[in-house]
Formats: sequence, C-alpha cells, structure tokens
Amino acid sequence: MDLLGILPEILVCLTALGVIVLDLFLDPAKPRTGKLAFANGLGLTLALGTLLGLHWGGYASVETFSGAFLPDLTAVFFRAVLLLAALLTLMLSVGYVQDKLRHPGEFYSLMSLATLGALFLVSASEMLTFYLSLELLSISSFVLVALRKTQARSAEAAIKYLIFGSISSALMLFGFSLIYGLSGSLNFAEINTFLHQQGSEFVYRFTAVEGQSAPAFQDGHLKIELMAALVLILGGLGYKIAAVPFHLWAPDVYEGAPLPVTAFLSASSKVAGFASLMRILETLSADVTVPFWTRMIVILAVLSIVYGNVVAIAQQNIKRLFAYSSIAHAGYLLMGIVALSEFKSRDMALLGLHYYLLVYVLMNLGAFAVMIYFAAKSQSVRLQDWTGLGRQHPWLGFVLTACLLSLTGLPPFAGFLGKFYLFGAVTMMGSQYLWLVLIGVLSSVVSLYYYARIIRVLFFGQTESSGSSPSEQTPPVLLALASGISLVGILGLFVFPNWVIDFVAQINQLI
Amino acid sequence: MTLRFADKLVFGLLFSAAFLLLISLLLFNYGEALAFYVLATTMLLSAAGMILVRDLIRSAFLLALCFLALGGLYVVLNAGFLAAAQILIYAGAVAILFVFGVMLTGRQHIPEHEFDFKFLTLIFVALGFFALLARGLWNGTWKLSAEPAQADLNTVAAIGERFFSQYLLPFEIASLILLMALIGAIVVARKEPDHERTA
Repeated sequence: MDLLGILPEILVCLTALGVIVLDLFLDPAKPRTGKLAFANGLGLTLALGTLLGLHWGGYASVETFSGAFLPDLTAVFFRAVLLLAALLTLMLSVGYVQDKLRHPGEFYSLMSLATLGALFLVSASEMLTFYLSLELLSISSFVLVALRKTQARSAEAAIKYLIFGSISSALMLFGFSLIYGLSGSLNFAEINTFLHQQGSEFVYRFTAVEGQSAPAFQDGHLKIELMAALVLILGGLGYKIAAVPFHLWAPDVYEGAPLPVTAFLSASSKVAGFASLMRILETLSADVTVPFWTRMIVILAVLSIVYGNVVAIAQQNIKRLFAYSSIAHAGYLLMGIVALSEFKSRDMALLGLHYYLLVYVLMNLGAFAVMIYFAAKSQSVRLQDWTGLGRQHPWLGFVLTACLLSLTGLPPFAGFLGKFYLFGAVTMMGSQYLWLVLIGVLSSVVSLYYYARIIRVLFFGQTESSGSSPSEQTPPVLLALASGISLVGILGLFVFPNWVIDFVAQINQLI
Repeated sequence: MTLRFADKLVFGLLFSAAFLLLISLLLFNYGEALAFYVLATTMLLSAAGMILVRDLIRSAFLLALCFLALGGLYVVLNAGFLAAAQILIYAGAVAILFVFGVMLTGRQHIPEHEFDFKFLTLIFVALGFFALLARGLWNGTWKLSAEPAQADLNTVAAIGERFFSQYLLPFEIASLILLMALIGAIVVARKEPDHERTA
C-alpha cells in the first residue's frame, strides 16, 4: 500500500469534505465572502502541486493497491489536466455560484468529488475501481445538473441525464461481467494477457483453407460473447464522451444545467471519458479484437463529426451549440483513437490525443469563462441577445474569438496543432483511412461557419443604441484570470508544443 | 380491511417466496437443480410481472419478490453472505423504499400505451438483442472453476479481509459515493424556506 501515490486524490477528498464542514461555520447572512471558493481552490492547487512535485521529484510509477491504481505517466498527465480543468472551472464559476445558487458549499464539494472520481478513473487499472470511480463522477454530475432548483429545465435535464446514465452504466457493467466471465480476472493487465494468449479461441473460422498458414482471424468474426462485451463497454464509454448514437442526453443536459456545470461536463467529464477509453481499449487490444473495435470507433467517429457539425449550424441557443460542438470534438478525438489501433500510427495518435485533450480543456473553458460573463450581462443564452457584447468588452470578446478560432482549428492557436496531430495520425495509417481525414477536414470548415457566426454577432451585429462603446465595467478578477490562462495556454501551446511532445515521447519510450 | 383478489395474489406470492426460500435452504443438499429452476422461474415471472402490472404498489411488491428469489439463488450458490445482504438491502430496504415513495407521491394515472408500430419495433429490437446475448451466453466458453464453491460459514471474515487488503481502494471509493449521494440527495430534495436568499 502506497499512500504517496494517491496523495493528490487524498488532498482532493479532504478538500471536498473540508468545504462541506467549513460551510457549517460560515455566517449565512454574509454569503458573498468567497471563503468556500478560496478553500476549494487552495485544496485543488495543493493537489496539483503535489502531483507535479511527485512527478518531477522522480516518484516511480508502480501499480499500487493490489493493482487497483496505476499512476503511470499517462495517468499523471491526465490527472494534471483534470486538476487544471477543475481549477479553471472553479475560477469561472465563483460569480455565478454567488449570484444564482443557494448551496455554494455543496456545489464546490460535489465538484471536487466529481473531480476525484475522474482522477481515480484515469488511473484505475482494475474493473471494480474503474466502474466505481465512473459512478462517483457520474452521480455527482447528476446532482450538479439538478442544482438550480428553481428552474424546471434543470430538473428535466438531471432526470434525462440520470436515466441515460444509469442505463448505459448498467450495460457497461454487463459488458465487464462478460469479460470477467471469459478471462476470470478483473485486472486490466491480466485481461490483456488473457486476450493475447487465448484470443484466437474467440473467432469463428469460416474459411479453413488447408495448407494456408494465414492467421484464421482475418476472415473470421468475433464470437458473440466477446463482441457483445466490446459493444457494451464501448457503448457505456461512448455515453460518457457523448459520441453519436449515445449522445441523446447531451443537448438537453448542456442546456438545462447551470453554466459552470455545463463547462465542467464539457471539459473534465470528456477528458476523463477519453482517458478511460484509451486505457480500456489498450486493455482490450489483442490481434483478434483490434479490427473489430477499430471498425466500431470509425463508425462512431464519422457519425459524431458529421452529426455534431451539421446540427450545430441550426442552433440559436449558445449552450446547445456548444453541446453539438462538443459532440463533434468527441468525433475528432475518436479519430485519434482509431489511429491507436496500428503500430505505425500509434505514437502520433498518443501525441494527438494528449495534446488535443489538454488544449480542448483550455479553449473550451476559456470560451465558457467568457460565456458565463456574457450570459450574466445579457440575462440570456440566446445568440441574438449577445449582439455587440464583444465591442463593449474588448478583452473578453477577444478571448472568446481566440477560443472559437482554436476550436475551429485555425493556425495561430493550439487547436490547429491538435487537429494536425490527430489527422496526421490517421493519415499515417495508410490510404484506406484517408476518407476519414477528408471528412474531418471538411467538417472543420463547416464548423467555422457556426463559430464565426458567434464572432460576427459579438462584434459586427447591429445594436439599438447603447452598446457600441467599450463598457466601463470590468469583469470579475477570477473570471478574467481564467480567460487569460486559457488564452496564454492556447497561444503558448501553439508556439511551444515541445513540452507535450517530450512528455508523450517519454510515455512511448516506456511502452 | 378488505383485500382485493389481486392483493391477495401478490401477498400470496410474497409468502410463497419466503416459503420457497426456506424450502430451498433445506433442499439444496438434495435438490439444488430443483431449487435453482423454481427460484429462477419465480424471479423471471415476477420481473416480467413487475413491468407489465399497471399498479405501482403491486409492481413494487413484485420487485421485492424478484429480489427474494434472487437471494434464494445466492443461497443455492453457497454465497450465504451475499444472500443475506440481498434480502436485507434489496428486498428489505430498496423495495420498501419504493412502496414509501409511491405512497408519498400519490398514485398517478399512467397513460395507456397505444399498441402502435413503434412499440412493435421496440419489442423486436429488444428480442433480437436478447437473442444475440442469450446465444452468446449459451455457447460461450466461460472460465468456470472446476469444483463448486464450498459452503463455508466463514465467508464474512474472508470478505472483510478482502475489503481491507485487495479491494481497499474500491471500498473507499464506494464509501465516498455513499457520502456524495447523501449530500446530493439532501441538496436536491430539501425544501427551501422562503426567508432564505432567493436564487
């Protein structure tokens, strides 16, 4: 048992509990002091510092807790990204929570607990821990979505999220149980060994040509039990990342949830989903299974990219627009997952996934920071009510523009490099997947249309009278800081991508 | 208190389930297979009834029956602790909680479901999915242990040991989930007094 390995998680857990306890001792007559947010931010910063300190101090990556917890380099990277996302979400939510929510202590605490679930999820190396941390993340998200109790839409969104979530997690659990029944083990490494050694038993052999030594699985199909397990597990995780056939909850939940929670769902939840998907697919990768899950992921990727981008065009509600945009981005990231399946494109795909998930967190939360301020200003999340806001608040308008261009994938921002790596990885797989790259690029062009529409409304929209001159009001410090960090991040990572490249190279060396 | 026929039916089923449980306890040395098939049939029928019955209370009791039969199956499998937990928690607490929930929220009229084309399609999709899974389960090469599990009276100690050694981390995460669910349920279900600051 190695407590040093989970020290960041322990700190996050203590933060969540501490905030709840601190909430008891605060004077309810003075609700706007920000002590809770400070305590929460302090705890999360300490956790992030501990994580990075342990990593740079040369803490060795070994399996601990009888193989339940694997703090390898990938996990360190995603835990750092998740803690960063939690800190940014905290910064951009302070104002909103003070204005609109009755229970700030519970909000911060649940947010920390959801982050804790995500942290365990990305470093779980055993199915039980994996499933339980996924539930910790999901169930706290359900409550967070329901937290604006005066709004009927919030409750509706929470119910939808809950029902979709429980069904998909039940299906995923069934998939896990099938894998357990086949392999007799919960441990990821043992399952992988099992599939490598005995995977060929799970293939139908239709064309047993005599005297031909070609591996039989190339013209066989997977047996139903293994196929069902893969489909069910991928379905459960597809729900988490909002890939297309499992996306139905996303628009309504994004719309009904409080804005900071929407930001959290679009950033932390998605990063955790993709990190866990990478780990699960790594576990389930053997000669027999790889062709099957690659086909499935290709289908999910194409559907997500096309559907997300096309439907986003028609959206007037900014939250729904970002829901569809996040579906489309799940599709781009799934292209990277597709490229994980072949050895020659694997390094590039890992780089693309790590880089793009980090950048995605920065650009999405940067956009949400500005959107939360604009939504509070205009009392609306409809696009036409935001006319001219960019001219009144030049800095925030600029940040939002930068984030949107980065989401589109245009050059001076890191989103371009991220898409470049992802598409490049798919190109390296050979010509049979070039059409996938083509779809990705064309859809990015489509996405420019709806992102640019927001920019046009912000800066060039016709306003009645007042809104043309820069406003005297300055946005709250934390919000401006969050938007600043995002802007620095997406510009800095474009100019200096070496930091991520070197880190991922380290991961590849270990593999 | 007058009992309608259907109520009698449900209560009768409940008592018969408890009876079956006892019988299966006695029988499992002689008739494991018999106990298994009887309990499994009870479980499947009550699960189907729970979905098909229109009345919520009866549905909840049929759910309790399903849980009881499942507990009986655990007994057949020599998982005594699991059976006790199943009956205490699911049949005892969860199902009764459902009944309380139905009582407190009032019985609402559930609109009649039209038997239309969409409904038929859904049935076929579900049946197809079920057939696929059933075929996979039936023909699958499962990793089964050669000898049946021992009827060890000391399973509780073994489970506790596992909780604090091999499964320490999942155990702690589960406790966090419970804490989080408690906080979340209170926040969501709490009635807000008007004199507090408004949202």
